Amino acid sequence: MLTNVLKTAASFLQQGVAPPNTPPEQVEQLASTNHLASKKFFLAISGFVILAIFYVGSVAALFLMVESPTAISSYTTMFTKTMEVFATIMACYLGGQALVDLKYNSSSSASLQGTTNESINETISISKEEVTVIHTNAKEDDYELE
Amino acid sequence: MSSNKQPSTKTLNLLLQYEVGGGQKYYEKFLSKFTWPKGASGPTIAIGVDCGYYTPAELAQIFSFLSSEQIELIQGASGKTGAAGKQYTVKLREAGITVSWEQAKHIFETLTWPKFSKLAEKAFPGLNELHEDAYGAVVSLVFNRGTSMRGDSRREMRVIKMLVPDKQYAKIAAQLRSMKRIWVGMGLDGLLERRDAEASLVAGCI
Repeated sequence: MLTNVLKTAASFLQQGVAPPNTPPEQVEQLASTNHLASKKFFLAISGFVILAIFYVGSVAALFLMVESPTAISSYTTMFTKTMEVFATIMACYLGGQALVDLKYNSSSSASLQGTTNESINETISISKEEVTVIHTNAKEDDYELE
Repeated sequence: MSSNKQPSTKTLNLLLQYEVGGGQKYYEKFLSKFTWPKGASGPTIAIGVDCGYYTPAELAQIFSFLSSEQIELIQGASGKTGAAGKQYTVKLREAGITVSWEQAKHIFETLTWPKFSKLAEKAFPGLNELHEDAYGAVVSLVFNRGTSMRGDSRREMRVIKMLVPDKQYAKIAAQLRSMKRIWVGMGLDGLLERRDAEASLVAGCI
């Protein structure tokens, strides 16, 4: 089971890989889905990673506090409350976004609307009458070569 | 006497940037057919070959790899600059004449660069003594502005002519930047950028 969970998580973070046990008719669709385009998925996965880092860090900090046991209680309270607030913010965002998506039938996926230089260049219309592409080599009226 | 210098890497990059939009990819997409770069330009193809400023004999030599009908048509572009050049460019485009990137490079290496470096050395005595990047920047200037030194619009070129023998790189760069006054508000901002790039190339030799 743990293997399947890890494989599923890995498949969500890769292109061209479907999670294990995906019905054959949906393999292609799931394999080609960019899960990171979903803001909710992105936030959840980044939240999970951040929490994991915090957890490992906090345990490491506890080892360093062996010499001052009185501070451990305050430290754990601070850590717990910070995590609570962080998790609440994430949950509120995810819940709010889900409600908005439900109401407006949107996907909340990040869409790439930027244009590359190449596509900008492609918009240069070179119609029959339009003969200028670049003008960085334009000549002056008194241009001459002697 | 010509020094037969080859363009430095920075010079080559600059010329490719401002003559053909950067290199092979852009060239093949937009510039392998005749275009007209505005101003007093003529029909232009390959790496900055402005047919309006070449004699029919020179054009026949440059485009010897094309068919005789196509060469004849290109020779008709000789002397056609400005509005006439623009109009003739349409005709050349309709004829479907194309020059591949490999052919364009060959023309540049064997004809265009030697021709313009020679012209630049003649117009700016002492040029071949400059650092290769400064040398290239001045050749790029001649490529774009020609060799004329007459009139107010070319006063910076006259100053550069005096500065070259003393290798006054900082002052040459300043003069190149000063030239931008000519194109401000003319819808030719690419030329302002080109002069800045040439000035930076010269300033890098200090």
